[in-house]
Amino acid sequence: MPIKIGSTDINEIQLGGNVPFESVYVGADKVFSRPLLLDITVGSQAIASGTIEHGYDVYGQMNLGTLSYAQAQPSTDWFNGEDILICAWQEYFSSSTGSFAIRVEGNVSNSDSAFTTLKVNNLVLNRTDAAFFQSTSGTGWTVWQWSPVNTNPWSGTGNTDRVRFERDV
Amino acid sequence: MFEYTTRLDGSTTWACINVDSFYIEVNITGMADEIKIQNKLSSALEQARELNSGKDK
Repeated sequence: MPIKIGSTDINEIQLGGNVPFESVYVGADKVFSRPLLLDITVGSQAIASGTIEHGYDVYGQMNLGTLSYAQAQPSTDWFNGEDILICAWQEYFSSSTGSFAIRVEGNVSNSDSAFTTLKVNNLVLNRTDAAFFQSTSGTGWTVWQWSPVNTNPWSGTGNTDRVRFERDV
Repeated sequence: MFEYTTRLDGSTTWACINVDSFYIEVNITGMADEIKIQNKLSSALEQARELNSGKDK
C-alpha cells in the first residue's frame, strides 16, 4: 500500500537535502515511488466527424494543448525517456461516449515498470484496464487506451490540470 | 480467427497478437468464452488501424 498524508497523494520525499528519493521502502515493502507529474493545459478540437479531442496531442500534425513537467524528472525515468505525444480524452458526441488515451513515441513495454495508475483530476485509470497497442513501423509508437470513459476528466478548455502517473507500489 | 498467446501480468491475463506491424494486448482476465475473446481482439485490431491511420491528423 502506498503511503499518503491523510488521503492526499505524496509527490516527493526529501530528507535533509534537495535530492528527492525515487522510492521508499518499509522493510521489504515499497511504499512510495516518485510519480511522474505533468501539467497539461487543455486544448479542444474537432478531429473527425462526431469526435472532439480534449487534452494534449502533438502526434502527427496535431498541436493541441501544452504539456510541462511539474517537477524535475530524470529524462530516462519514464517511458524509456520517450516523448509523450498524446494524453487526451476523445469525445464521441453523437453517442455521448468517449475514451481516454496516452501515446508515447517508440515501443514501451506494457508492465508496471511503465506505470500502474494514471490520474487526471477525479479520473483514475489502471494500466491493466487499458487496451495496449504498439506499432513497430517507422519510429514506432505505444498507446494505452481506456474505453469507455464517458465523462470529460479535464476541468475545462484552457485550464491547466495535473496528470499523475504512478507505478510500482 | 486470431491465434493469440497469453501473458500473465500480476493477476491480469493478456491476450497478445502480432498483426501487420501491430502488437496488441487486451485484458482477458476471467474470460472463458472464445468468441468474446476473438471479438475483443478483432475490435482492438480495428482500433489499432485507426490509431495508425492518422485519420484525425
